[in-house]
Amino acid sequence: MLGEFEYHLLSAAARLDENAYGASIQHEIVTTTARRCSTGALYTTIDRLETKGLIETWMGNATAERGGRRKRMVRITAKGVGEASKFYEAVIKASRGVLWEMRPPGVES
Amino acid sequence: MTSLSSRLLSFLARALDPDDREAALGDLVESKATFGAALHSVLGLIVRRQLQAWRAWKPWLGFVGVSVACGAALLYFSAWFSGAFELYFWLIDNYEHFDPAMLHDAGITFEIGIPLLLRHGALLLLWSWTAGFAFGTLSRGVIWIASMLLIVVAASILTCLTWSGWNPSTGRLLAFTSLMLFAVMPAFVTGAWLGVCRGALSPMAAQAVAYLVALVTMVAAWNAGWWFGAPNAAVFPLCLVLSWPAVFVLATARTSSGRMRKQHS
Repeated sequence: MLGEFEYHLLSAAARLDENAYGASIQHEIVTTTARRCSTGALYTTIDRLETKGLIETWMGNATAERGGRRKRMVRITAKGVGEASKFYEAVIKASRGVLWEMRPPGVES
Repeated sequence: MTSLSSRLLSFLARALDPDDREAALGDLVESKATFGAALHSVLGLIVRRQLQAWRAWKPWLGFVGVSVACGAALLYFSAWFSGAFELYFWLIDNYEHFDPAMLHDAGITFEIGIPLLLRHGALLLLWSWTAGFAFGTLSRGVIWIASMLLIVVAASILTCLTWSGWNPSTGRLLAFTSLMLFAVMPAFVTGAWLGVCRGALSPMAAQAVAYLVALVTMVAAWNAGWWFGAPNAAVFPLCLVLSWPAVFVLATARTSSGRMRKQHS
């Protein structure tokens, strides 16, 4: 089963599609979760997911915006989609009938 | 971010693999991170990569294996060195009481001692090259951290050995320390450094070089009485164990020659 951060990373990569790379995924995770995402955690998790076969990575083109440095592109695999789906279904099932399921998002108790 | 801080970050990022370095530094430039945030990110990634790399067995084999082998080699070499040159140290301490002509007639001259020292220095250089090569090959992902740890270990051993040569009654500390610092250590450090650079750049030694260095090192060290005094068949297996870096070099040479034959066939 995926970890929480791994799921966030896969979700961000799936949403960004062809524009998924290190910095964009990091920005997406910070925007979505309102939590810090360190470069170290990001790239070690990317490596772990690639080892598990859930994503593929390759070095993309360099751009002037990046000081002439290449970016590490990320693409989610079919296996990654399957694992992310399982995690999502597990969260949905675990959340049925609980107090915060019925509360509108953003409302505090 | 100033150019100085960019250069500092680039220097620190050399501890990362090239792809990691490109991606991480590029991300930081794109996100316009401050120097503090960028430094935190780079150092955090370096620490995580090092911790990840040290989970494998190879860096531990490289560090512990080479530390033990280096410690044993330096210990036995220093013991041999001290014993072989004991007479010369005594002569240096008491040179005022001897007629040089008498010493020359007796065959006790520096013309004999210096070539002997050079031969054993060359052997130490070869041995330390094999140790450095094995270390560089096994520790490629953690070369900087492992090298710093190994330097601390080697420096501690050499300091203890140098200090153990001190004899206050004869004052031979200066002669022993000088020879250790200006003869033994340069040979050891030079050989080890060249071997580490070679091993870190390419895990497979060129076949001819590997066979020559490894065989000469093992045979010469055994014949020179480095390990346990005079050559003895009973201790040959132990000599082989302590010469494991040379065996490692031979093994990588055989592996590289096998791969080259497959590519050409």
